[in-house]
Amino acid sequence: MRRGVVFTLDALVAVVIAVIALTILMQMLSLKTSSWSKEISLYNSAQDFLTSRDKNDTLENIFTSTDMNSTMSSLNISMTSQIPASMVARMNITTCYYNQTALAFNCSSTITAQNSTTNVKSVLRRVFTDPTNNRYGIAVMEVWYR
Amino acid sequence: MKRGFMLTAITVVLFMVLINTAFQYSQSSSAYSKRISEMIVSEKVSYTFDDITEDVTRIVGFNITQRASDLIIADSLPASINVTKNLALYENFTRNYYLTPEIEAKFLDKNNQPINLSALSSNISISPFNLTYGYTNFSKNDILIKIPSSQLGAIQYTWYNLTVTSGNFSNFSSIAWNSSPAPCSMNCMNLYLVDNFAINQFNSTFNNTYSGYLNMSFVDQNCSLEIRVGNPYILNLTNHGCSISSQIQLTLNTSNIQPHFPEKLSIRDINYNTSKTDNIDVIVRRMLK
Repeated sequence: MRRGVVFTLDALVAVVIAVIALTILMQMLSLKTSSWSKEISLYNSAQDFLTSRDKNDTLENIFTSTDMNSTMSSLNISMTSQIPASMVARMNITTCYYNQTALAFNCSSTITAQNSTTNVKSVLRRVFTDPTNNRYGIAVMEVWYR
Repeated sequence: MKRGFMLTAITVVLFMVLINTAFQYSQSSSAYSKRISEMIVSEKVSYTFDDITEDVTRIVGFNITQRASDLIIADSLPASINVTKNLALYENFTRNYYLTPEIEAKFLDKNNQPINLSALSSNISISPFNLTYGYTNFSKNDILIKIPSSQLGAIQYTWYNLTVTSGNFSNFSSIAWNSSPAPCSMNCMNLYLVDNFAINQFNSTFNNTYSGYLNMSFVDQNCSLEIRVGNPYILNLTNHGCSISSQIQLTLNTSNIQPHFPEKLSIRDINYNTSKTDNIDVIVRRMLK
């Protein structure tokens, strides 16, 4: 009888340990899953923003910008208003023109101000061009949660 | 003693059920994660595909608008840029600056053989009619529009609006078809030719089965153009030194239209082996009626 009680208690302790282990495991897995769903939201926000800026010629107009600081600042403002309030983004624009003499691309880069503070972020690239003037550019947008 | 064994057995069974549940949950969760990551990768692949396709349309200079079943193709002759060279530069740029190491891009010809983007065809095909619009080459000294005769009925009306922005015509009244077209009531085509100042205008409506060429003379001998309609081309416009702005409107019997190049673009993520291979679509601006 006493031995049965010991077995039962032993088994109950084992079940308690198993339940704790299971809870920790599920917690870890659900964290992993939510990280993926967060990345999808980040990716979609970046995709929407970059695609719309390319289609409305904002990116192409960067080639003819005489004041890059003000261009980047207005891009920053539109990023802030278009992406969800829970997200932060920054953009790195590289513009290149083809040097006919050197037969190579000459490039320069400009970046908006924000800095990433989290590991969960999405990075998206968009290529744009001004074929009339042999100019090509890449916009790299990074989005992360506040 | 017997009760003790019973309880132990039940506990062991419960314990095994718990382990099994954890295992199942872990399996479905990793499958979900895999599906999500594949979804992101396939979105990235499609996005890269669309990004390149859009730029190719921009470089080639096609300006196509669709309003319901009306397709409007705006163009200007000759080409203002060296399209072939620009396509080569664009390909060079995307390979060296745009594509990340895990993304592979290939341009394929009709037989799925790899080609350079500069080998892109200078004509597009409009599905589902197999109607082709294009030029002999990207210098754009002509416009050739062709449709299989069995599909002619799919075009309800065609407008060719051509503005010659350089060159000096003689009196437009001296412009005439080599054989007068019969009056048209169905499946008609309308050719409207005008000079830059809208002083000289030629307007003619004919059936889409009509075949003929336009006799016209120019005061300015440095510029001339030839216009032919009828088998095999529904428009064969050859430009000799003029600057021409064209707007061609086709009213089709469906709004389900997609212009594309005969060549394909293949984008592949090497790590996930996820790819998209499809014809290079011409981006169409779709307007509400």
